[in-house]
Amino acid sequence: MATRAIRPKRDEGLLAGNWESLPERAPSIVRAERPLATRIVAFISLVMVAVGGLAMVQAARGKGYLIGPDWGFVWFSLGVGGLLYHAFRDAEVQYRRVYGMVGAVLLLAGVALRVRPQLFLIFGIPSLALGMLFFVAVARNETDAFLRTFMLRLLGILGGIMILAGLIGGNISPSYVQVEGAILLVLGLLFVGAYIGLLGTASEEGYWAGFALGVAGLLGFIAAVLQSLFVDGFLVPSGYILMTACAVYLMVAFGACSEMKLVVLTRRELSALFYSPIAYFVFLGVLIVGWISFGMFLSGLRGRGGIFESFMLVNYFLNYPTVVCVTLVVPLVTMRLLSEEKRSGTLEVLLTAPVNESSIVLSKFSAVLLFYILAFVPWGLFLVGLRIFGGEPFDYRPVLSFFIAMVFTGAGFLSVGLFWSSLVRNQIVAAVLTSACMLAFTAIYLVSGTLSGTWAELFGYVSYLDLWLNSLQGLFTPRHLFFHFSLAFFFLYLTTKVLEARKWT
Amino acid sequence: MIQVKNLTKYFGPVQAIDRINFDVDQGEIVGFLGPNGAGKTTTMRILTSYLPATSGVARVAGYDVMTESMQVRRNIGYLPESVPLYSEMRVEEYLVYRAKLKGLGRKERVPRLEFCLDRCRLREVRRRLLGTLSRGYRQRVGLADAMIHDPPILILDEPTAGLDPIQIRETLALIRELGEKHTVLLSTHILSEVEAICERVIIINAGRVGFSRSLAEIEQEAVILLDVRGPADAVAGAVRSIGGVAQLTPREPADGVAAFEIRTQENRDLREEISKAVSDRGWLICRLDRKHRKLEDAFFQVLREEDPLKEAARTSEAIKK
Repeated sequence: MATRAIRPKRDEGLLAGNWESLPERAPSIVRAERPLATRIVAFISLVMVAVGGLAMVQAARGKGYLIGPDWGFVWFSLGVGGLLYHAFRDAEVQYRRVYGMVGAVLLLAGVALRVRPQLFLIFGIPSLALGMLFFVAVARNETDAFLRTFMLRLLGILGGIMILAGLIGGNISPSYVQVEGAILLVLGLLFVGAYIGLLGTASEEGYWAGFALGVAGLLGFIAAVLQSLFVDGFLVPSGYILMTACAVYLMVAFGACSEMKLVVLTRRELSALFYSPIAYFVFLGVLIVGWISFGMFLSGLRGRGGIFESFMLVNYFLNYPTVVCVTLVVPLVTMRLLSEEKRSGTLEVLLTAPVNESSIVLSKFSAVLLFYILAFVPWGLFLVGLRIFGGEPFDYRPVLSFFIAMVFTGAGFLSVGLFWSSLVRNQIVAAVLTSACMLAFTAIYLVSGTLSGTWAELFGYVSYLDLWLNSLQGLFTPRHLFFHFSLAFFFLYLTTKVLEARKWT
Repeated sequence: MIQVKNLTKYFGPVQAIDRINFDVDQGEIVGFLGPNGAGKTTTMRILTSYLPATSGVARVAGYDVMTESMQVRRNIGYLPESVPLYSEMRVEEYLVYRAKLKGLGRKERVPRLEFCLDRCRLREVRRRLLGTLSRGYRQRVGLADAMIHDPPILILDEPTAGLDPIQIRETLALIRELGEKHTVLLSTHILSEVEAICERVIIINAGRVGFSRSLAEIEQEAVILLDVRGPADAVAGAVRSIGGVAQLTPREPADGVAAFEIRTQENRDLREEISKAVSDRGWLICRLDRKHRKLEDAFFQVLREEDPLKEAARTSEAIKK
């Protein structure tokens, strides 16, 4: 090794003499802004809440009001949504205090209503959920450290109690978990999720809270498995509900706390999806389509005198809107995954960190797959709502197999989208190419109907619509998943190779 | 810490760098200079293992950039030229994310983050969205990212581009301080920055290393400038006969004054001998001056020199046309 050069002394130049740090002048001062538009929204929302609320109250008392109770509910919901928006946006202290009080009252009312189980289901649960949302909105803007910590910990403790109630109650009495327990398990997760999300897992408290959630999930899962093994009739549906909830807890805890590079990358990808407006458009679009399908399904149900048969699920899940929805969602969520990184140059930063190509591809894939599953969850929730409030028992197996089919076909499509995104720099081009592939997949269904023999069988494996149809009719054959699974695998492999191709010489 | 041997890179038919060789030792701050398109960024990208070399070997921290890319990446902090950042993330969030990717544990992350925010003067903007930051602040975030995992080697592609005069000095002071423990390879177009902090410069031109020397060496090198009223050939002969004169190049003469640039062996100061030799012959000395070479002179000299091989290639191309 050569000897180190003697650093020359300099009496002129950039660092002449002894350069002394100057205090930082930049950046520009942050000025509190007056969100006028948001306040107008808040004002209108308040009026809507009042009118809608009164309409519902008056209708309950058997009296008429400006609008009917159905519209009253719509107005009330829209108004509450507007107020929440205001609470999220407006950081001024009076509003924070007002909304904080509203949230506290709602939470208190929700807890107090637990004394009357019937009322608790109808009013207590929504009140708890709303109170949580207001608390989250306020805590997000809260500058007073004590109040913020207090609100967050209250959310965390309430969520913890709900989860424990759901898990313990569910293990003691299987019927508990079928209605209130299930709701508490979901709501508890949302509470704890809000608590951890606002704290951040970089902090000690947030990390250990996530850890505790994971432990609860693990213990709950083991308990549910043991109960299912030794207690007859526990597995369906209580065991399933408990196991699913616990598996979700475990996944959430792992996803929030793990420092594995794959998880870190996935977390960033997911948050990037939610930072862009596309995510919300997709959520809203899928929700509206699901809502319309559900409405059509309900009116069909009424037409049959309220008799619910499982083959009718086909009408709910498989409509033209569903197909259009999936065909649009896939290119929308995958188009910017890699093309944007290439265009902006962040791929260089990413690949010069100690991360290999396959984990980048896998993280992007798992993020969009999670997003895709989340987007379609409300469709299932509509059915749960029907089960709980309408008292309509139905065969859950077609729904389950349809869900599995959706996930597998979705995985295949999303990997195709990811592949196109890795090839081009322009996200629109990626979207167009992916859409073309989606259309081709759909066309295969149309073509396969006209064929017979070997070709028909071959296309039967490829056609995703056939798979969905079969799964909904209870003709679910796992070997038909094979094509979609291998499609996902193949295109993920190709995408990794595309990223590695810059190194081929 | 960095060894580069016969590194060549073609982008299709375009030759970006051509058999370059250089070494950077531990704890050195090396300036990487060259005009636009000389191959600086390409070389740096190869060193960070982002791009492969067409041929040749590069080793960083003892690891081969092609075959042991992961270890190389663990040992470097890289600041790319245009500082690409995720515009939707916040400064602190981004740095935490990068620290996690680079394998910093939960316990060591917090103090390290605070240190980097402090040293890159990002404290004021830690909650801002990266997309709303100005060019200079983006540059600082990039630098903070490069040093967040305290890597032994820092590769900085134009770290001061787009910074204000104060921040340039701050950054240079920071790099100089980092250079006490770390090895730094930085590229820049501003020669005075190199003079301020670097111990050594590597100048590349048209894909070749033209020059790799320490600044002290460059500054020791001196030329003697001589203007004499007299016959140019005779004066040249007289000066050449002095012992120790290595090279004598005539400069532009002006109305009867012969002008020369004289290089001496081992940079000896021969002014007295020259003065004696010239005045003994009865010529009048108009100027006798010893000038230390500056980095700028060396830089332009490298750019003026044409690679003989390249010249030959160019001529043969011209003949073909």
